[in-house]
Amino acid sequence: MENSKHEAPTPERPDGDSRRTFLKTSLAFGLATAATGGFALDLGAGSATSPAKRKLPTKWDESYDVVIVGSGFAGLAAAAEAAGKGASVVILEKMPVYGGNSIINGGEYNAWTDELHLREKLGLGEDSADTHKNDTLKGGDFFGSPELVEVLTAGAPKALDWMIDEGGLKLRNVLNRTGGHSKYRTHTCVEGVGRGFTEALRKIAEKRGAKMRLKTEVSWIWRKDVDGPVLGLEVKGPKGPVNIRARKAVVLASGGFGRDVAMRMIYNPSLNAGYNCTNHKGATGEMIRFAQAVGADLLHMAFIQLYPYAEPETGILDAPAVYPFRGPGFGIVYVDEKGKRFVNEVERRDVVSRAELATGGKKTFTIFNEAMIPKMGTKEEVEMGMARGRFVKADTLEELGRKLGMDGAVLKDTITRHNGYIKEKKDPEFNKTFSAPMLTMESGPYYAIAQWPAVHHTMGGLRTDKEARVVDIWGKPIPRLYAAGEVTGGLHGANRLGGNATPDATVFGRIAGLNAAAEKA
Amino acid sequence: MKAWALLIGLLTLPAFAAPPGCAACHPDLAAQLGPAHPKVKGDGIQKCLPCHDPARKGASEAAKNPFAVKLHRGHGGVDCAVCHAGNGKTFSVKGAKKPLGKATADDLKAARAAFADVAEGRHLASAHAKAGVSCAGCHANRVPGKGDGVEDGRCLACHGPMDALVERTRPKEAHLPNPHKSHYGEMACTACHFGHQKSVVMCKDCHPKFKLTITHGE
Repeated sequence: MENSKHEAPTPERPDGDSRRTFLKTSLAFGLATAATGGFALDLGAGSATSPAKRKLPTKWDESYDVVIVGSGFAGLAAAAEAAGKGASVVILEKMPVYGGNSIINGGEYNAWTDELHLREKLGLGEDSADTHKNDTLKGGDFFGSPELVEVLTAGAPKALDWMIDEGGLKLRNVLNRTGGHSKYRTHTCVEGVGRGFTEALRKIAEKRGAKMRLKTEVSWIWRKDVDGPVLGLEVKGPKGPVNIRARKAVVLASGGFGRDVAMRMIYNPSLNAGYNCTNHKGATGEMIRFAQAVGADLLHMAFIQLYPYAEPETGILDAPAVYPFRGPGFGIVYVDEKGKRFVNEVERRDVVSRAELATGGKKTFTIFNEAMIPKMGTKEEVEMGMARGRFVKADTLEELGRKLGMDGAVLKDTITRHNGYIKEKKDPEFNKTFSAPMLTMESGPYYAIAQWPAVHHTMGGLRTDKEARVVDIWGKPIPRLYAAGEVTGGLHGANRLGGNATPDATVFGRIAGLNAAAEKA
Repeated sequence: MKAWALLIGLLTLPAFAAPPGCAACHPDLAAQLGPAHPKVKGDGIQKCLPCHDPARKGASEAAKNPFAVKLHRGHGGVDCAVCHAGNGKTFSVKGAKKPLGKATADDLKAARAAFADVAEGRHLASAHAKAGVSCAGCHANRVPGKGDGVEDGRCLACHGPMDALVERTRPKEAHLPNPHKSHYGEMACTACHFGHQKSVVMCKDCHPKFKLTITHGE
């Protein structure tokens, strides 16, 4: 192996082992003082933003068996499972409210089946774990890990039933075929927003004794050396840093970095501040950097998803902004500012977003009619959205077009032609594949909602294995460090299918929690 | 170490830290208190305690405590040691049976800064003081340190119950936002309302168009 020290180590390379030995030796040499001086491992050493050496805490201010960072789906699921195994558990949440992006998400959950047998009851065809898996892999351009996707698709129905049985989760009596999915498998909670799931998980976690602490921001991950376990966390306290020992393990469930413009531009320079973002303010990815600084590997960081249906001005993903996502399976149509179709509506989010940007406008619209409302959501929700100025309603397509500032005749022509495509099951314009539940729009009232892409989900993140262990830059699990949810990368690939994030976070959160609790204290 | 510190404390307290009582500034306190007030014999805060005991039942409830407020608001520039005793660990009213709570020198420094701020009257805590709510009304029987939180229950003791609060801020039209009824479900009061700094409408982090205002905010 020639002159390897100038190259970045890559675990996939066949000669990885010898490199690893070499680099480990150099690291160990660099840390020779650590053996006597008690310094913590810090790969950020010498940088402007990091102290040259961080001293390991000489005493711990507090200790728990399992310390979890983040209180979204993944953190709550991990807390519930770890506490269920008798571990003492604390969730650290930096924001003043719990739930992160999870509690404000669209309330959608993909599972190929469920204990309520919704698909069978609604007569929406067949599905299987394998079909869900294949759709997910294809939807991510086969960049996603088949091994991880298999865990997701197999675990999704069980986790859903678990939340129904133990957390009191209630589902709407609808099932959607959403972008990139070949089957009707997208479940919606009655709340129509992620809170339905987070509340169910919180209930289970708290019932089992997990504690949650808000406004508690982690400032470092403690690990002593390259082979050693993660020991605990440093958090910002009002009177200075507080050190919390994790007797069994640390679980990172801190979400993505969509709201950190600088960080997302490092990996995808095109996603500048000109893009809105659907995320909550705290989605800033610092835990990913801390994990890197103690050896964690990352992947897929440039894969950052745009949500094609956010409110055009602010980028908010409110309840109305979920309708364009739920609707394609029931025949809704997307049109540009001139009233013309511009994409196959059952396409993936990345494809729809790119097509929207390519229209050259500032917004596009979803068009649907009265008959579709109960299939996608509720009349009350649509009426509330109308009062807020989100949905626009008209008795005729001409009038709706006028209200949207376009030629009503063009809109009418677009919908009439699309009706014909549904009947013939052939879309000569965008080659849409039709399913039986798709409806034609023959009568009003008609509705429209404006939509535009906004940064939504970071598919990349910490490299983890199917046991939710965080893997280091040598390809080896970091002892006592687990991660789940959006903070991880590698499952979704180049594009995440809508409704897959909630089961991803819940399923792997449960695995992380169980494995963390099984560690020896 | 402890014994040493105690010894120094004992030696220095009488020598340097024996501030005057009330009479030094209020030569005719009885006249100032008015005829309705029972006669006070002697000088110093100790003499107030039989009636105004900080350890009495209910003194640390979320309720008005005009006595404490009057003394603190009226004595902004006065040395704490006139009425309080502290040894770097506990902190008490002179002559009281029970200490108010634990307090380090840093805590007391923070408390002084908070008092100065309360006196200037810009934030929520000042409004509470003006309305007769003392520190204990929010912080209970402890000396609040930097970053100290206030539990929702203490706010709701006066401003609740939550349903009533939701009702009070219900917008005229149903589609408009009600700041106390969020899609988050239950939220801590302290997500938006801060005692010693400007309050913020957290909703606006994501909903910049909401026309919501908050008292003692921007």
